[in-house]
Amino acid sequence: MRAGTSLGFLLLMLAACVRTDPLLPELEFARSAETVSVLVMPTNIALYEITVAGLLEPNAEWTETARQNIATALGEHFAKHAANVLAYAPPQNSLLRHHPEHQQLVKLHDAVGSAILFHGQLPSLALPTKPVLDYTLGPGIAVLREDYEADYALFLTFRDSFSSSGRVALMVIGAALGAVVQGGQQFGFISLVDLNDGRIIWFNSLNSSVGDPRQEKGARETTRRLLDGLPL
Amino acid sequence: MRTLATACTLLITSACAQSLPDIAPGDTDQVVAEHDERGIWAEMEQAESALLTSGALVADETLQAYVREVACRVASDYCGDIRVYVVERAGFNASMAPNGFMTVWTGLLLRVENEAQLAAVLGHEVAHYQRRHTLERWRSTRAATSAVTFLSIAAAVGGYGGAGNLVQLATQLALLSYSREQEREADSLGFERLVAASYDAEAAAAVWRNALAEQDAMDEDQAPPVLLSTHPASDERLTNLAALADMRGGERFAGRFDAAVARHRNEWIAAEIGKGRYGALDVVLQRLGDNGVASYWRGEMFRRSGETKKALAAYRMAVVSPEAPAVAHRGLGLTLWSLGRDSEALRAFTRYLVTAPQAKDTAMIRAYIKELK
Repeated sequence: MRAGTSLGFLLLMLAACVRTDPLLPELEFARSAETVSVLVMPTNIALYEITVAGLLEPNAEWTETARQNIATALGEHFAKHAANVLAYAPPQNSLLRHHPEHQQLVKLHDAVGSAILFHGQLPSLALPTKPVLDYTLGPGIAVLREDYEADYALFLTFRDSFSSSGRVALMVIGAALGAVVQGGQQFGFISLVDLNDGRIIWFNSLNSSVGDPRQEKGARETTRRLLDGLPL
Repeated sequence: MRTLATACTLLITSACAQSLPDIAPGDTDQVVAEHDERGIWAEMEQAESALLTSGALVADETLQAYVREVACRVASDYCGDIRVYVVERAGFNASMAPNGFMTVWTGLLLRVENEAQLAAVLGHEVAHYQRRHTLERWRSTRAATSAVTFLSIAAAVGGYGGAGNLVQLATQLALLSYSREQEREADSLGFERLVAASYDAEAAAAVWRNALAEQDAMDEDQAPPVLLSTHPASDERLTNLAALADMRGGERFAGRFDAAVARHRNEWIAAEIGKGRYGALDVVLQRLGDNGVASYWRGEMFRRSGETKKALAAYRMAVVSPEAPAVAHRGLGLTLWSLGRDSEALRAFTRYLVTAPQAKDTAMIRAYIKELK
């Protein structure tokens, strides 16, 4: 029942870290002459309201709105760059909303992405064996290649929080007394995965105290920053 | 300062006191109406899907179906709203998520003695769902911590900085007693469900008696059984349940229960041995009775904890019983060898090879025999 905790904890911990330059992989990424198609995997998104005391209350409505807005913004981005976008839908023979093996890949991406961030953010945690971005979701990616006609898959994990009115009041009082009360914070990481071999060929993370994906405009802005540097 | 502390205890307690109407069977519209509840449910749906793809579920479909059936019997009209998953996990526990998915640990199935005792725990968990306890607790925590935040600031501004600690202590106490209150409620509602399903009314008290017996057998520095830490227990609860039962009778269905779980006991005990809580495990094993399997495991437990004499006695009992696993001879051999009784050890190892010629460790045992000769 605490499945999200470790991820959330890592993200919080990273928020406290000094932000270093984004990881820039040595790209072997080259656009072929034909149109590239990208499968957008089910996004792992959650939005929260911050209570007065700083607890996070999940908000289903905000989460759903942000999910839709970000999906739209992703679609717009790829359309602009003449890439073919495939929104994830479970295979026709699947009774579940998300095929279990596909779901496993989403979970694996959460774990791998967390590792990339963890080892990439502080020099003391850097892995000597990984001087460049060299991570993969492994051969298990084949299930996607079989079920979808796409060259790449995009995985996104994203959390955002917004102050409740009580929290805002506390922030005002805090400011008057000279104390800083933490407000909303957005974190996320995003990967482009090669469906031929599972390698993560592009990765980016976001850590910001501005932006609001509950609004279409804000979602476009957040998406633009998430996709910053994507060679597509 | 004392007035301040009293004032906030009152404030926090009143924040905690709000009680919600039951969730009506099959009615998710009720949930949709509450935005915090909807958020919690959405989060729990994620957790449920993570559980389903975690590999933690017990593969035995018959067992899953059996536990689901028992849950349905006590859940009655909530049957359609509840999903039950048996997960591979040592320890005495079950839990209920607010959106209706229940996890039953294999460690619980090892400890309950019959279907009625299982039903008692499941009925208790259903009651948590019915009474929307998670939402209640979330709301009271939110209200209490918010109150504390503002009160601490007020105290600091008023020059009573030290009062902040008192306020926090008062909050923790208020929340703790609140969760006890929820457990009492789940006990009594769960009991009604148990009786309504014609199960043995004594079963609920028996479960707690067994959990407390395990706790008593533990070293003081060990954590109590999980069931007791997530369901704060007391003699009072036990007394209440026993009084409720008051010779009402009902079915235990020990045979049916045994048919569903017996074939798994070995692996479940092995998982418990790995936890190293031998004192408590001994209570569990003794309850399983004087059969060869339980004796073998007691031998293993004592041998690992260095109580060689007790180990020897347990293995001796195991090897003469018809249902003893072949490995009991190996355990006996190792124990005898460590006591310097080489010729007896040799006989036990030889016996092991005869009983289990296909065992994976035969080469090792042959090497032992060579050394002993």
